[in-house]
Amino acid sequence: MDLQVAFVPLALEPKTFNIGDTVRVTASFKYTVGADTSVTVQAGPYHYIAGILDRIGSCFGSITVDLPMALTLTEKQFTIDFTLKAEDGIQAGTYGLIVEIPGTEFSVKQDSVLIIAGAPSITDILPMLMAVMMMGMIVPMMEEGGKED
Amino acid sequence: MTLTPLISSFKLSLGGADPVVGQQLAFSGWYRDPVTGQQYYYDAVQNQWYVYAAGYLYALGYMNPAPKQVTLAPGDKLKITLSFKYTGPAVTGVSSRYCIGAYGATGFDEKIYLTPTFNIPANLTATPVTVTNETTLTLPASPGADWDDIYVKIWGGTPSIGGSELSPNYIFGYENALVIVGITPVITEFKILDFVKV
Repeated sequence: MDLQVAFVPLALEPKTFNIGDTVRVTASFKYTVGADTSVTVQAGPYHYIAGILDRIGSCFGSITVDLPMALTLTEKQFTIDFTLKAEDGIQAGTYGLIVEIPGTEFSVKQDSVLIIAGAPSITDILPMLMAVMMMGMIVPMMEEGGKED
Repeated sequence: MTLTPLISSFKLSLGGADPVVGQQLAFSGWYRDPVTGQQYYYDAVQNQWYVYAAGYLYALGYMNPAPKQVTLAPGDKLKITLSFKYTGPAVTGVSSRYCIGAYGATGFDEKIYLTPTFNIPANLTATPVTVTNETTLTLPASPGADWDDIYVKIWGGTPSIGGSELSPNYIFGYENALVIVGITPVITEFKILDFVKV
């Protein structure tokens, strides 16, 4: 019997927040570096527009993470706070959460884990409105067709 | 009576590594690759293959898998020790070249090197004795991540052990002997552990 085991990071459970809440993200990575240095790490919400990842950049929080010289893989854990402010473009809906080092390929993200409560925005209810409007147009046409028979 | 230097089992040590011994044939002579037609020469005394090209003999397969890896950061010093078995007269002023660089399809791209000379004491017995020599190389402030190979070659001296800087009889190297940790962080296993309202 061939037993294959793969380790997959545990998915984050979605959580609900309100406009104005501050979210504290705890993240970690392992690193090596040949001299003492530091990196800027930022975290915040994102969503997709036409399939393209769109950061709600105004909501992002960032910190500077010190990286002492490490010749072997060394774990670094840190926290980043960001606030869900309506004036920064966040509104009720579902968002992903991304933690990244700007200007590098180093990032981690998960879709649909930030649920922002509140009245739905026009973009959230637009598909439902369009469906209702189409039903409203189709039903009278079907009724008129039935009367001719 | 003429005393001829005899060197064998040329190898490098990165702080006590085990020697690497290649395949050894019984007789010296020319060999021909039946597919390519390329001619090779095997020196059974030195246990060394050579390839013939443009009038020169080049030591073949002088790069070997490293028995271990040494991690280095900018400014770190690497001590390379070579050793070989020797029978013959005392030799003074043997030239050597110790290199760190990137070995690939186009050869060895030397990045750091030193060319010290050293002496070999006489051994007039029939039993070869081990001769060692060492040199320390220092990494610069911004080493390349691909500077992970090393080699050493020796030639010349009085009386000469043979060879020259461009066609040494004795050359040996290790591939992937070094792990260069540069000044740019390398990050892995990036993950979000939790997120909460505060």
